[in-house]
Amino acid sequence: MIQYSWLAHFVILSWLLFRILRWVLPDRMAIGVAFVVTLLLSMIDNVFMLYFVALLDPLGLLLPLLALRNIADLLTTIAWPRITLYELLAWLVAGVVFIASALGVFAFDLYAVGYNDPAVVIIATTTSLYFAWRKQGLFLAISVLGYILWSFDFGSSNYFDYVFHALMVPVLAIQLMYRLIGLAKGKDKTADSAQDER
Amino acid sequence: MNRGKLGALAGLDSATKGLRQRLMSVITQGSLSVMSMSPYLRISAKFMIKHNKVLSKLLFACALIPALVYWMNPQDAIEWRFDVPEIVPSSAPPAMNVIFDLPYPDSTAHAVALMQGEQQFSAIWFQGSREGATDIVIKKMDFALSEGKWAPIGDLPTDFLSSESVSRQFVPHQGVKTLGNTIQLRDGDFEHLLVTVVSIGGWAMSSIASLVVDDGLVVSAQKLNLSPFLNRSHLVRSATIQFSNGDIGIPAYLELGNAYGELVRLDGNNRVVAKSRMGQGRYGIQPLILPLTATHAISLMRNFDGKNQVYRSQSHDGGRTWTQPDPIADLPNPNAPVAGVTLSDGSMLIAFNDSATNADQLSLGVSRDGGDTWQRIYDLPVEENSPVGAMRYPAMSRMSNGDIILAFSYGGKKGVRIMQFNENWVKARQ
Repeated sequence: MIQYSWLAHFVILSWLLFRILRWVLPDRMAIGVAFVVTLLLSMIDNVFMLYFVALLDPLGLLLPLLALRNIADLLTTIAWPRITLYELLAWLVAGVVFIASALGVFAFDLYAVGYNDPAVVIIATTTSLYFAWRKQGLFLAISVLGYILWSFDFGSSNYFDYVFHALMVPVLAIQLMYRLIGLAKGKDKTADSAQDER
Repeated sequence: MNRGKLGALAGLDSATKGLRQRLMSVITQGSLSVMSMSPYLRISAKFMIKHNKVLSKLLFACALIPALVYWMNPQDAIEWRFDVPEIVPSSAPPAMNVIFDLPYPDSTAHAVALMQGEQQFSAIWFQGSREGATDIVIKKMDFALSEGKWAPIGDLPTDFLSSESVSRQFVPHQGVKTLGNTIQLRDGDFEHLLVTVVSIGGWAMSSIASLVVDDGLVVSAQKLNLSPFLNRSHLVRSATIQFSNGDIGIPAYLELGNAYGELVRLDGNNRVVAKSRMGQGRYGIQPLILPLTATHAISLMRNFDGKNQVYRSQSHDGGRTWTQPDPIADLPNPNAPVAGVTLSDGSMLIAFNDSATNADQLSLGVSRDGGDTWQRIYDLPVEENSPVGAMRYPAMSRMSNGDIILAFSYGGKKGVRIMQFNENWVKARQ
């Protein structure tokens, strides 16, 4: 559990540094420098790392795996299946509603459902079937693995901590903005179809 | 960058003919450098193209794994019943004494909590230059029962917890800026605590940490998982309650823009297994939960939205759900928490500030009708030479010998006072 948490924060910080460094460095050099800097920061006891962990923990599965996928996306020619504009919008709305309900905006606390075994298995199976249908292998893996880890008390006692992170909301919003800009420029053809983008 | 040529490789994404053709084109032309570097990827891509239907079925099979795991490993259903221990009336003569008084003229001392055990108890509170400062330390004063009276062990409290000692043992290792309200996890257990910790920001960004302390040293600290919003903003204040199966109920509250009380349920491994919210749209915090029967409990909450009356929420199903908090007309509240215990006859005794605006006076009140009406039985005296200011944040607990201990800060967080009395003293004043 400790090792996973360390690894997850390592990935996220590396990804953040990589995204910043690639403004000034070539991609492969940027990721190299990002990994080395993160490794140094992780090995030396320092205030920055302590509060970075305090701010983001628990990271769960989604954010680190998406960060890794994003790095792979930028460094290789592997193309991952993208979610459609409608899916993006739906996940963003779901994320906002989810956080708002947890903060008391609505009477119902969706997060509290994540402790409940029968409810969680329904959610996990439904979302997994959806991702299988959409052939979204990564999200399917996160949904299934998240349930297994939750079931066997690997980390958090709430299923949603494995498959969601609050930072996903701004990430989804930025991604949606890029898509809409692309759509306006005529580069995005996924707005009205469920087909995967190339 | 040439994307989209290997969608199938990563996500097993498409069964379309066009895609297969494009993928084959990519493979044959060798335009993907990563593929040319790795024969495994090339083999994988070919395999997936050839066996696309099989892989599609495999994906659906994988999607059913959660259901399979659930079927093989179902968790026990939670039983929502409070543990309501029988209270044996004490035969001790009526008595009320101040057993500890420590002024802090030059610093802040606040939020006293009581940790009880057999023939002993400890009072803990935070003390430092100001509330929320990085120099805050959780102080601890031990008391023992001697010839029917509770007396402090030693003259001065000891430093019990600090931000640094908690931060060092956090899993995962992380920074702690300051500590706040701290309570005992279970009656009789001095090794497990719940601490309000702040790493970044103020109280609104706090989290509840479960601590293990051994021989005065923190050996483990871990945040309870209570919110998807960066696991913030939850705090503790009042004493925990117990469920019939040994689970613990934590009266917690959220204080981030919105504010409401919650009952957080921990299992025997101190993992959160459920939580229930005490209403919505009413700013009632710092719940004091008093179980009256196995299924019925009253929660009295500090009014946080300027209505100046104590909020009451009730549960009739063992804490699973709570009614919308309603202000109690008979109980004014100057935005301050209340503390209390149940008495042997089933009535409720609370310590509260009996004013809508002024927290300088602390009073004791008894209710025999579930909190609709309250009889004032005592106004705590303001000691001579004490600093003037708010007398608030009471903590109340029944000891193993039946005595009731009341602790609070006075003089606007400039001192800590602890008193002992018994149920016969309460009855004598009714």
